[in-house]
Amino acid sequence: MSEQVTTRKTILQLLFRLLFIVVPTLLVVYLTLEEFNLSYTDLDTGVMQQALYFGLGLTASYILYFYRARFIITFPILLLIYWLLKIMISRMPGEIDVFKYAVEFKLYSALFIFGWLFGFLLVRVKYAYVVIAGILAVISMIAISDNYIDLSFRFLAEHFLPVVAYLLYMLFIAPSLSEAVNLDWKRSGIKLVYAALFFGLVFLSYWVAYDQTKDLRKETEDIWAERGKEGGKGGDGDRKKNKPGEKDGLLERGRKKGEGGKGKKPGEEGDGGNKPEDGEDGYKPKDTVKMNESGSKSDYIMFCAKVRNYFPDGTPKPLYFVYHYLTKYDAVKESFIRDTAMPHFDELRCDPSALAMYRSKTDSSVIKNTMATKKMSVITSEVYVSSNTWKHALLAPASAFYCQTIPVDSSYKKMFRSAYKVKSYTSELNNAYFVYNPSGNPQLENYQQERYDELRSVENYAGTDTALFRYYTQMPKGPLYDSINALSKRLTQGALTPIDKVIAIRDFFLQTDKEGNRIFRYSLNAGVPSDPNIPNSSMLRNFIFKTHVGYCTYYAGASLFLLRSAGIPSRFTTGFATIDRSDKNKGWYWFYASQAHAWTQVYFPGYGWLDFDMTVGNDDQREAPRPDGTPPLPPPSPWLVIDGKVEELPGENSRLDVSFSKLIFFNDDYRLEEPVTRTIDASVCRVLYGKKDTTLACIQEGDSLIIVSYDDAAKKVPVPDMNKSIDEQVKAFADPIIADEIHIKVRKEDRKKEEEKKKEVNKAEEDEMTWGEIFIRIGIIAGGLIVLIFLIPAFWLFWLLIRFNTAKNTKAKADTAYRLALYHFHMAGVERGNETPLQYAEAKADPVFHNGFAAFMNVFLRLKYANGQSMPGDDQLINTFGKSIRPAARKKAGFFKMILSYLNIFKAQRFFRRPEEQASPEQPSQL
Amino acid sequence: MLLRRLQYWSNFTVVRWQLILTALLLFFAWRYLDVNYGEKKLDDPWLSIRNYLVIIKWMMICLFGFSVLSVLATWLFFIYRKKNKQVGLQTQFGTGTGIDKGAEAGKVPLTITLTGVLRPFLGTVRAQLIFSGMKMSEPVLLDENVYPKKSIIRKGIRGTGQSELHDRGIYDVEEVQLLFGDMFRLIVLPYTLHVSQQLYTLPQELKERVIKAEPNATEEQTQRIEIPKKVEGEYINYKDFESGDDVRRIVWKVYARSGQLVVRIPETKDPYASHLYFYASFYDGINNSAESIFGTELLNTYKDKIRNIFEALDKNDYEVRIPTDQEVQKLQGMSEKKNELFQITAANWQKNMEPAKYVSSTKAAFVCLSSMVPASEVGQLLGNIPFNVPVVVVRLSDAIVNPFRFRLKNLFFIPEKKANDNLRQPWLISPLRSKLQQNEREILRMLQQRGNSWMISADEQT
Repeated sequence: MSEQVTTRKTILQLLFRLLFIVVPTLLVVYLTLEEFNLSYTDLDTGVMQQALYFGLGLTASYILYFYRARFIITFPILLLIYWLLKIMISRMPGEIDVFKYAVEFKLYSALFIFGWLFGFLLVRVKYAYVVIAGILAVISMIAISDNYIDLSFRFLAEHFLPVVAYLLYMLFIAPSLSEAVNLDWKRSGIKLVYAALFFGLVFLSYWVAYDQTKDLRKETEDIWAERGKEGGKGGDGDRKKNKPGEKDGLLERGRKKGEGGKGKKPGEEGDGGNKPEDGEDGYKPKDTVKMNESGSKSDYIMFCAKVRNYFPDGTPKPLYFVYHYLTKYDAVKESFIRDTAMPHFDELRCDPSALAMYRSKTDSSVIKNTMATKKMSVITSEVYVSSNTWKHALLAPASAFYCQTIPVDSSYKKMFRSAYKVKSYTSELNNAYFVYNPSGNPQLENYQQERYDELRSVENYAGTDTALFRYYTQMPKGPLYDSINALSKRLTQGALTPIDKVIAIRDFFLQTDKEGNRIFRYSLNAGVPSDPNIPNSSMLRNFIFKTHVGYCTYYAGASLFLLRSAGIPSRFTTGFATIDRSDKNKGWYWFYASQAHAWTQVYFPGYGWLDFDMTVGNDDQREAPRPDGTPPLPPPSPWLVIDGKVEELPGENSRLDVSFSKLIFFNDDYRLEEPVTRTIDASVCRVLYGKKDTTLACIQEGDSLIIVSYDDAAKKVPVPDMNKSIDEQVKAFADPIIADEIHIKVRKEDRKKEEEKKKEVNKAEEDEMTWGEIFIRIGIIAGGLIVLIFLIPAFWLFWLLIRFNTAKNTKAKADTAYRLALYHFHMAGVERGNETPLQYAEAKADPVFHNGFAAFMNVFLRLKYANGQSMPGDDQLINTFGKSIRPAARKKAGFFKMILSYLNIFKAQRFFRRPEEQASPEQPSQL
Repeated sequence: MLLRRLQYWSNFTVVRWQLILTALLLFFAWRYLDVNYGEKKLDDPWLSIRNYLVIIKWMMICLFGFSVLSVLATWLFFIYRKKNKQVGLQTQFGTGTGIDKGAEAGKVPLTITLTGVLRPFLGTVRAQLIFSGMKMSEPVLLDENVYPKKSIIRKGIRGTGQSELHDRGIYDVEEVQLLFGDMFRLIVLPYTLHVSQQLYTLPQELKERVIKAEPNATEEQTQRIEIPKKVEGEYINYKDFESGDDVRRIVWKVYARSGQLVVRIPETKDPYASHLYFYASFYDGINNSAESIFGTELLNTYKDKIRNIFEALDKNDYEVRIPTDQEVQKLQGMSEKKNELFQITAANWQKNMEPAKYVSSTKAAFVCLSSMVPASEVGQLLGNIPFNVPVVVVRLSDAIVNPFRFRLKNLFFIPEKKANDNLRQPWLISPLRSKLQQNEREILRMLQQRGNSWMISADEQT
C-alpha cells in the first residue's frame, strides 16, 4: 500500500470521525452554552462566537491528537501561548479597550482550552464521552435550575434532552468508532442511517416514557402553568415559544384550557360576568416577591388602577384586589375551590368585556350579602387592564357591586386593552397594610391598633346566620385536620374575642426560635401544589409541622384551617396584592404578574369580611422591579351617553339624526318612554368602529351608535333635575347635541366575519398537534410512503406504456417496446438470467408468451446496431409486438396475479438490480 | 500467558465497561440530586426537574431494556440455528476473496463471514479469532451484509477488520468467539464456535529495491545468461565409456591401471540458466533457546529481511527459488512465489544444518545468512562458494531498536506502537545482543576480506 493511499485513508478516517463525534459534541456544547448563557447573564453574549472558539479548540485538538501528538508537550505549549497573549493584551495602550479585550480574551481562550481538553479526551481517553456527557448534564442542570421561570416539560425537554440524547448517541456510536474499523463512504452512509434510526428509537422511547408519566407531567405542567406567562424569561425570546393561546395572559390561558369559569363568550351582552360553575377559574395565585428574586426583568404588567381611598390626611390607603373567593373544600383535590352556591354570595358577576362602552352593571345584592353595616364606605376605582390579563376577569377591591366600562385614551391603547370603573362597598377597616409590618409608620401602627380595638367589640359569633357560620367553619376530616384543630385550640387558648384569636394565629406564623430567627419562612420553592395551586394536605402538613417554608397559598391555606378550627368563619381569597410604590401619582397602583396573591378573609359580624394576610414577609422583598408608569389619562366624564340608531346620515355639516330611547345621563341609566330623534353635531368628535378609529363616512344607515358627550364648560350641559322626568329633561337638551365620541356598533355581517375568524383561530389553536397526533401524522406519511414504494413497479410500467404510445420514431418505439417486454415478462414471472436478451426471448419468453419476442428482437437489434435503418414492415411488427406484450402476459399469469406481482417490489427490485459478483466464491463451511 | 487468559475470559463477563461507567454516572447523578434536592428540600424547580428526570429514567429503561432484549433474542436465535447446524463461518486473512489466506504480518486485515445469524437491532456482532496458545485477534465487527445473487434477503454478515498479528508464521485458529453486543454496548453475550483452521502471515515487505544477481542453475534451457556458468560432470571429471562417446576422450591411463574404459568430461560452460537459487539459512549457532522472546523477534526481523531480498531478487526476471534448510509444511494451490514466501514465513531457527552443508556451491546465486551463524561457520561457507555469488549477512543485534534513540518528531508525536516495543530495554542488556555483536564484528571482517558480500542492518531506519 503506497504511503499516499494510506495518508488519504487516514484523512478520510479523521473526517468521518469529525463528522460522527466532533460535530455532535459541538452541537450539544452549543446548546449547553446557550442555556448557560441565558441562565447566567440573560444577555446576548454571543453564544455563536463562544461556540466557535470552543469548536476551534475542539477540532484542532481532535485533529492534533488523532495524529498522535503528545499531550504533555502540546498542552503546556498552548498554555504558554495563552500566557504570552495575555501579557501582550495587558500591555496594549488604552484602558477601556484593553479591559474589553482582556475580558473577551479570557472568555474565549477559556472556551478554546476547554474545547481543547474535550478534543483530547475524545481522541485518547476511552469512555471519555460518558464523562463529557456527565459534565454537560451537570452544566445543563445548573442552568435549568437557575431558571426559576419556566420549568415546563417543553422547556426541560428543549434544554436537557439534547444532553441525554448526546450521551445515548455516544454510547451508541463511539465504541464502533474506537475499534480498528476503517470507515469508508459506504460504512459511513450505513452509520448515518443507523444513527437516524437510533434517534428515531430515542424519540420513540421518549414519547413512550412521556406518555406513561401523565401524572408527573400534569404536576410539572402545573408548575409551568403557574409560571407560564409570568416567567417568560427574557421577555420576547421565551414568550414566542408559548402557544398562541397563552399569549393573552395568565388568566386567559387558564380559561382556554377549559379549566376556567365558563364565562360568557366575548361579545355577548347581558349580565356578562364569569359564571363560575365548578369553582375553578383557571387562575393561579402567585406571590408578590417571586419575581423580585429571580426573574425581575421578566415581570410584566397585568393592570393598573386608581383607587379613590385615602386616609383622612390624604395618604393613599391601598386595597387588595379580589378576583375570587375559594370557599368549598374539594376532597379529591384536597384543596379549596370556588363555590357559587356559597351563602351570601358577594361577588359581582360581571364580564367587563361584555359590557358596551359606558354601559354599567350594578348588583345591589352584593351590598346586602356583605352583611356589613359598620364602618363601610363606597370606594370608586378605575382599572386599566393590559392585554396580559384575561379580559373577562373582574378585578376590584372587595365587594364590588358596580362596574362600568370606560374608554382608554388612544395614547394608552397599546398598553391597556380596556378599562372599567368599579365601585366597592368596602370596610374602612380594610387595608392593604394588613397584619404585619406597619413598619414604624405611626399612622399605620395607630390604624392597626384602632382596627383591633374596633374589632374587639365582636365578642363571638352568636346571632350570626347559622348557615353562614357553619359553611365558613367547615373542616375536612382526617388526622391532619385533627392536628391542626389541636394546634389551633392551643394557639387560641387565651384569646377571648375572634380578633384576639386571629392575632394569636398570626403570632404563630411570626414566632421566632432561640436565636431570634423566624421559624416560618417565605420561599417560592416550597413545592408546587397542583391545580388550583393550593397546597394539598400532605404539603400543608409539611408546611405547618415540619418545613415551615412556603409562599402565599401555603400561608393562606394553613391560616384558613387554623381560623376555622378556632371557630372563626373565614375564606380563601385570590387576587392581587397592592403595593404602594409611588408618591408621584397618589392613589395609582400598578399590578404586575408577580403581585398575584392569596390570603384569607375573616368574617366579623357587622363589619363583614375583612382581609387578613398571614403570609410572612420575605426578607429579600424589595420593591417591584419596574417603576410604575405614567397613569393613563382619565377619560373626561360624559354627561350624556346615547344608545341610538342612525336616522339620517351625516351631511356636509357633519350633523346626523339619531333616534334613541336608552341613555345614560350623568352616570344613571334611563329608558325613555317613547324614542326620540335628535340631531347630533359630529363635527368635532372622534368616531370609532369597534375599537378602531374611523370617520363619519363609515356610518351607514341603520347603524347602532353610542354617542358620548363630555361634561365640559364649552357646552350647554343641562343640570339634572330630579323633579322632572327623563323625557322632559331630554327635550330640554341643547339642539344639536354636540358629540365627542361616536361608537359605531359592529355590524352583524362584520361580527359574523369576526366570529368566523375567531373560530378559525380557535380551530388553529385546537389544531395544534399533540404528540399522539404528530405520531398519527407521521404514521400516515410513512404509510403513504410505503404505499408509494409499493406502487413504484406499477408506475414504471405506466411510464413505459406512455413512452411506447408517444414514441416519435420507429427506433424509439422499438427501444421502449424492448424495455417494456423485458420488464413486463419479468414481472409476469419469467425472469432473465445470464442469457442475452435474444437468448432470453427465444428460450424463455417465446415458449411462454408466444408473441414473437424473438422476431421482434431481430428487428430491434438490427435497428439498434445498423444505424437505425428500418425496413418496410418493421413498424407494424413493432407495434403489434408492443401491443401484444400486456395481453400475452395477462393470458399467461392472469389479471389478478399480474396486479399482485406489480405490488411485489422485491421482484421489481431484482429486475433493476445489476447482478452482483458473488463476494466469496468459497461457500462458508457449515458448522 | 496469564494476561492472555484474563483477556480470553473477560469476553465471558457479559457486562461491559460502558455499562459500569454509565451506571455509575447515572447513580451518582441521581444520588447527588436526591441528597441535595430530595424530599427534604423539594422545592418546585427541583421537583419539576426531578419529575422530568423520571421521564428520562423511563426513557432510558425503555431504550436499555429494548436494547438488551434485542441482543438476547438474537443470541438465543443464533444458538438455536447453531444447534440445527444452520450456521456457516468463514475466516481469512487479507481482504482478497480467493484462496489466498495469508497477509503480511503486522496489522493484518481479517475477513470473517458468518451465515445464519441475526444482528441485534442496531447492535453489533463481532468475531474474535482465538489461536493456539490463547492468542487472540482483535475483534472484527461484522457490519456488512452478504446477499445472494439477485436477492435482497440477507444471506449472512461479513466484517473486515484489522488485527495486530506480529509474528510471521502460521496461526492455528482454534475458536471463533462471537460477541453479540447491544446497541449501547452495555452487555456482550459471547458464543464460542470451535473451528480448526490454519492461517498464516507473511513477512513484511519493506522498502522496494532491486539486487542484481545472476542465476546459477538451470532446469530448462530457456534463459541465456551473460557469463556462462561452469557445469560439472558426474564423478567429477570422468564417466564410463558409452557407445557414441568420442574414443579420443578415453583415459587410457585409467584403463591401463584398472582395465575400465572411462571418458574424461571436460568442464564446460553452460550459457543457459532458468532459476535463481536464493539460499537463506535459518541456522542458529549462537542463541541457545530458539523459543525465547528475543529469538522470535529476531526471527520475525530476519524473515522480513529475507523477504525483502527475495522481492528484490525477483525483480531480476528470473524465477527465484529458496531451497529450505528445514522441513516445513506445504500448502496446496499457492502460486510459486507465494509458496516461496510461505516457506520463509513457516521457517524457524534450526541447529541441524550448517550453512556450509546447506548452500550448494554450484546452484547458489545469492546467499543470505543471519548473524546467528557463528563466524567460523561463515568462514567455512565463504570458502565453499564461488566468488561471484553475493553473500549478505543480516545484522540481528540491531533488530530491536535502542530505546534511547531520539527523534525530534517523537518529542511532539507519539510514535506508532510496535509489538516489540517492550523488548527494547531488555534487549539492551541482553547477553545475546553482545554475543551477536561480537560475532558480527568477526563476520564483517571476513566479508570485507572476501568482497562481493555485505552486512546489512536489520533496522530499516539505519
